[in-house]
Amino acid sequence: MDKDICCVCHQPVDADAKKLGGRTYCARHYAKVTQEHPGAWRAGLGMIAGQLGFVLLVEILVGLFHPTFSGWVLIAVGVGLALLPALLWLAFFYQQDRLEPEPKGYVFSVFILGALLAQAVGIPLVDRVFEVQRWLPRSPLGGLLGAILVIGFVQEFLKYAAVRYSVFPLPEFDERVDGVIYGTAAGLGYATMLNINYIIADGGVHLQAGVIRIVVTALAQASFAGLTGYFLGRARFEDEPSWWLPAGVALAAVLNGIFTTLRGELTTTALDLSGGGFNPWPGLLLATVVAAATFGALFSLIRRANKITLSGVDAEGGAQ
Amino acid sequence: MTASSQISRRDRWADWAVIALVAVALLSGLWLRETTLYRAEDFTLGDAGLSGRIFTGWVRQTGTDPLLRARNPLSGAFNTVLELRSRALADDADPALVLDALALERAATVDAYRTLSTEQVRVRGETAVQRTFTYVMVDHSPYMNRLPRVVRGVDVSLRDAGRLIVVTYLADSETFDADYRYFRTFIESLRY
Repeated sequence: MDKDICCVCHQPVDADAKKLGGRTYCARHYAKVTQEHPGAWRAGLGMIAGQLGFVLLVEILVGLFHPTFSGWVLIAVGVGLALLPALLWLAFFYQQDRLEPEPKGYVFSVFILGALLAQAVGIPLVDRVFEVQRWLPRSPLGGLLGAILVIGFVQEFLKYAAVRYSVFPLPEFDERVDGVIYGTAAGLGYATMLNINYIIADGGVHLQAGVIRIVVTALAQASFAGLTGYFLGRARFEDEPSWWLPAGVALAAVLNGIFTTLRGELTTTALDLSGGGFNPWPGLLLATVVAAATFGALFSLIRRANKITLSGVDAEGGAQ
Repeated sequence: MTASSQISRRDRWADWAVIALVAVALLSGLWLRETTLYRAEDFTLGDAGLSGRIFTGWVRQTGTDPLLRARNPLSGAFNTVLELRSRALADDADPALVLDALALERAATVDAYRTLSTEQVRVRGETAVQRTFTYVMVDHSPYMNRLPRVVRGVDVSLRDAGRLIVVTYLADSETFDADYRYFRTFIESLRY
């Protein structure tokens, strides 16, 4: 006869062990699954607020001192700016995570994995194999579809893979909210590499417009990966159907494609005698709204799922 | 069968379903790319007895020399161009004569024209002469501030009874390789 084991730590459990969605839990991991982990949400909120503060700070400093960098110094400054959004989130997260600590090494490893997958697979596939810059701008509908099918699916699948095939099967992935935490780490890794590529390809960065673009990319990539992570977290601890994970990746890809297209439309302005052609501020507003709405929705969904579990509505077996 | 083995089998299905979904999305993206970049429509040059397929959205001009000139208006500062010419040529004459004459004509109208290579190639199963060249395109308008562009080109001569059909491809040196497929597809579509 098969003996039940905990689906997280794979240790044998008693016959009256708690079950959730057909999965058996030891007492410790049943308690962990429903943990609220407020530090993770505060880190998410801190990331959004911190990045907006970071943009304002750079805008003020540039306005006051008018720094003129060139050559490798400009590239180095740009790369430093590209790393800051991820460092801000990691700093917030590590600071907030002291009470319910997530293994720091795993979070950082997923961040690095997201960056490596972006550089090794995502960016070459989108830019060189699909050459999206050659055909996406040709028609609005074709551009939107292409952004979803190519940019959205490539980026979201790689961020999903960075979590699914690394920490997801490990015992350290033991809370519903872990999907969002590791997803955000993968998304920020991906965003960091996108931003570094953008800076190196342009031979540096126009500080005021560049810093907004960096923050927009980071907020968007973190949000969509957080969404995929939510689906991963539910799939890990609940009895979700086979289409659940594909639906999560597809939803993130569609939102990513719509965001990419909208950002392009909103930041492109009509040319006039004073110049113009590009205004990054609407893109920042859009990214902030998307990030706040995504993390807000994920927070309330996970909280609701935890409440339902704790009230015993969807728990099976064992004493309540 | 235990609940956990059912779940793990469903998890595996979910993994494969994600991979299948992404594969379908990327294949659809590839199809969309091909359709957007390389959708073509038929053209016929009745007097010259030539027909083929030219890309949708390209600006077409017909005349006597060249018989057809099509340019891609979305291909940057220098629009990628395909041209079609027909020159009378005795069956035993060297096709390079026609290409030499074309080179002289171009050298008189563009800046810094240089022939790069002349070689025999196989086109549609037959031997053809191919010449590659380069020149600099300078916009002489006093109202335009544009940097000169380096243009690369290819002439391919296809022998037909009593004439030589010359297919020309011109592109900015930066987009030459990326756009080369237009040239290859165009040549393969020609009927005469």
